[in-house]
Amino acid sequence: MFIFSMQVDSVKSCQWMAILFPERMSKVRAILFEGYVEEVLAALQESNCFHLVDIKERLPRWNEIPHAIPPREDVGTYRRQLQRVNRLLEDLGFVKTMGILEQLFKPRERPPIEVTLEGEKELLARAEQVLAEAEDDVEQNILRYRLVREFLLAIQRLKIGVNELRSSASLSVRTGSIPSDAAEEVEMELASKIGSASLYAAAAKERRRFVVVLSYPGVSEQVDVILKNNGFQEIAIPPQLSGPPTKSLSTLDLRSKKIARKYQSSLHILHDALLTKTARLEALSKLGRTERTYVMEGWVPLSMVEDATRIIQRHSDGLATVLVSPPDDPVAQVPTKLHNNRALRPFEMLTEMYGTPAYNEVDPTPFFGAFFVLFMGLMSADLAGGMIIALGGALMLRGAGSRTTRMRQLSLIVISVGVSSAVLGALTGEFMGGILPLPSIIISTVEDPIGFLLAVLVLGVIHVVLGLILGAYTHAVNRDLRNLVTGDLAWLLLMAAGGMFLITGDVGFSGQGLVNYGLAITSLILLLLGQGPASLLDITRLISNIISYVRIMAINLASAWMTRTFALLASLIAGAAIVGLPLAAILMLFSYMFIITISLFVTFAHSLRLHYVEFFGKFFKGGGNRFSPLTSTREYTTVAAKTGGGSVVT
Amino acid sequence: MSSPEILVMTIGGAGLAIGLAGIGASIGQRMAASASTMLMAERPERFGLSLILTVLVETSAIYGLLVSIIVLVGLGGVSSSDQAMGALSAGLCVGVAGFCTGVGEGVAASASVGAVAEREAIFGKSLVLTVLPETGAIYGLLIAVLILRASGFLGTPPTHAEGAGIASLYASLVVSTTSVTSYLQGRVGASAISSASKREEVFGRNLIFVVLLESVSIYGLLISILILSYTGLL
Repeated sequence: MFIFSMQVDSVKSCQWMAILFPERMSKVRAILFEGYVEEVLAALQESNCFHLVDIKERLPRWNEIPHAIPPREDVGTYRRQLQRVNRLLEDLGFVKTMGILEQLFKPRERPPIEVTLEGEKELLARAEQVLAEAEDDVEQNILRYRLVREFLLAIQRLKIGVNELRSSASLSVRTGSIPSDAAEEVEMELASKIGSASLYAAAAKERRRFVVVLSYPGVSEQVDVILKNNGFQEIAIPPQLSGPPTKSLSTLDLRSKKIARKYQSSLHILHDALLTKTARLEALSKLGRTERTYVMEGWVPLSMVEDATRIIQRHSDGLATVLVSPPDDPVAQVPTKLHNNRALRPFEMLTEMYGTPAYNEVDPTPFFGAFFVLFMGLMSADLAGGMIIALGGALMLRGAGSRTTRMRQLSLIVISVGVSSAVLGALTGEFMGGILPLPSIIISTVEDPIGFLLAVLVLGVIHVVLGLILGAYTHAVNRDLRNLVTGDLAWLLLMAAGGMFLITGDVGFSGQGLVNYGLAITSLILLLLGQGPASLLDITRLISNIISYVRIMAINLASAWMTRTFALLASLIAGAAIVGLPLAAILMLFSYMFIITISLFVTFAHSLRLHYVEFFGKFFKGGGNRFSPLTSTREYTTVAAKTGGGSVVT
Repeated sequence: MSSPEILVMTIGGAGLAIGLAGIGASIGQRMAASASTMLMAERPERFGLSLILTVLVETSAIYGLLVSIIVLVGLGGVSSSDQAMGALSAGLCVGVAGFCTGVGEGVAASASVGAVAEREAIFGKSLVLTVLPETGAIYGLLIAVLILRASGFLGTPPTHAEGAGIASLYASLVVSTTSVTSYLQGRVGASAISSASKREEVFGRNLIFVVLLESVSIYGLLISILILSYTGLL
């Protein structure tokens, strides 16, 4: 049930819910005493319910009483601290570059750290102290030995112990690096001018070569001159290192790991706390200010208004004034929040990739999700392939999906596509290009391509008609009768007329034929009246839109025949003695994985295109203002469920 | 043993399939690979993404290879000029379509590599715009496969419809000529990618401009299918 209540140019009476529309919004204005502002903002960040509006755009509505707040100067301080944290995380080895397979399939190493807001606040207050201590420790125990570590790694192949790298009474040893192009020259110069000196060169790094120079103490000065003239830089080996290089390297690694463990929690918590704090201070500049109070204005989903009000009152000791009202702004200013169920939520990112629905527009995600999975399944219908895709999606969910929400959503889409492909493969009797002959339950796309062609055209008609119906619904709810009647209904009548002509075959001027002509002429008149003569050109575009669904059949058959051809090749190779069967199996495996991978990209792009062009083009304009609530960005932490619960910051 | 003319046409078809499609894919891949090598100097960590974009361009050559193999494997069973003409038509169809697609996809892929160099997050949208021109090669492969099936190359008995060879040739010419839109789509796609990398919210609208060009190849596919259907080849 829904009630028509909204007008075309502005949105009123938002208490009425319209099915399939984005979540209804309420406008919330709050006046707070200055001492409570940051706490309220911090709490709202954790609730993800408040879309803050810049007060500078709204001052006339506040009778120009509050004034705008300039950007806070301390934001720079917190940003610099964040940079120091990131540098420390890198130095301590927490930031690792991952290859594409690792990015997709490697699970998150550690679960998020549970923190409390009070604990975070306390750590932020000590941030300078914590950072200074960590930086000093890292400098003394890690950075200082970084070059030594690289040197020891390089000289491993020289089979020299660390103890032998120190000078003694009878032998002078120098350790360091020289420019790579000077190494040979120095070696020759030492040999010719000082016959008793030897240079051992190890691996190069960034145009310098690590070297060990041995000489008698008596010629030390001459050796020093030659080395100095050729850009030698000394690397001092710390006295506490001894034994083979591997042992020293192990000592240095253990030291690094110990320091990393010491600061890991604090730095991760500080990282997220600083990100959140910086965002909060930037949000402050969107508020207005009087002598003793702050004013803020924003949007809250209707279902969360009570929670938002409670949060504001609780964190301001009940002294805030909160005003809630329905939206009375132009549609373009009201933010759009999609609110689909768990099964469809992953597809919201694909809808928004095209554009955010306007506040008074239908959310196409439910239909998008269903048809997208269907189309991809049809294009890549194969029982074995579908199972492999679903498995890949499950591994992605465990890997990248454990790290970010976006990857989690993408993994769920891949799993649903895999399932769809497997089911449709079973129904059409496809299993690895016919290697295992399965009976087709509905239609065999390979045996009956024309039947499949007709089926996808019918599917295309259904999809386009659905788009027109959604367009009609949108115009009806917005009381845009003109576009409803002379646009959506006219096109639907024209399609009905075309369908009746095709089904009945009656083109005469009596009986059914007359009805068909009546429908067609009525629709053409409506189109001309509403959209002008140019709308007649859109008739060919409509035909083109429907024919475009032929690509489903084309891509399905292309994949099926590619698999069959490789299977044919494999069968030819399998006949060869001894190596035939294994080679055939390898060929089949690699070619099949290649076909699945390419097919995923192709079917994804074309399913997307069918929706964005043929479907969305009938009803969806986008251009909405995306709901972007105050939020806390947390990479390493999560706020404990109960205040005061969870781990305390150390 | 088949007559020399039949052999020439059949083997010619196999050659055209891989030759033309391969040249197109090579030209396209050269563009994408050159852009990728330049990217490595600035952003070596984007190797995986640029590799995906570069490899995608090769698919039209694979379609050509497949048709070539199908024709050569079935060479022994060719006994009529209609079958030979079918092989030649299939090779022409997938070869020309593959050529246009390879070059078009290469233009789009090199623009995508450039966009990814600026911003990694644009990869998904760039990928979609890069793959769109592949429709031409897919249509070419489809018509080639249908022609080969009717000519007895895929384990099915050859059709004995009158004028089957000429019908195959005309069906193939229709799809071949309309596949030029794939190259043009690639050019428009490249502009769309550059535009979307500056303003991501215009991706959807840019997509519409890219696919506008595809109407012609869709009409070509439909006419080819109708030719094959009405001449008894389908």
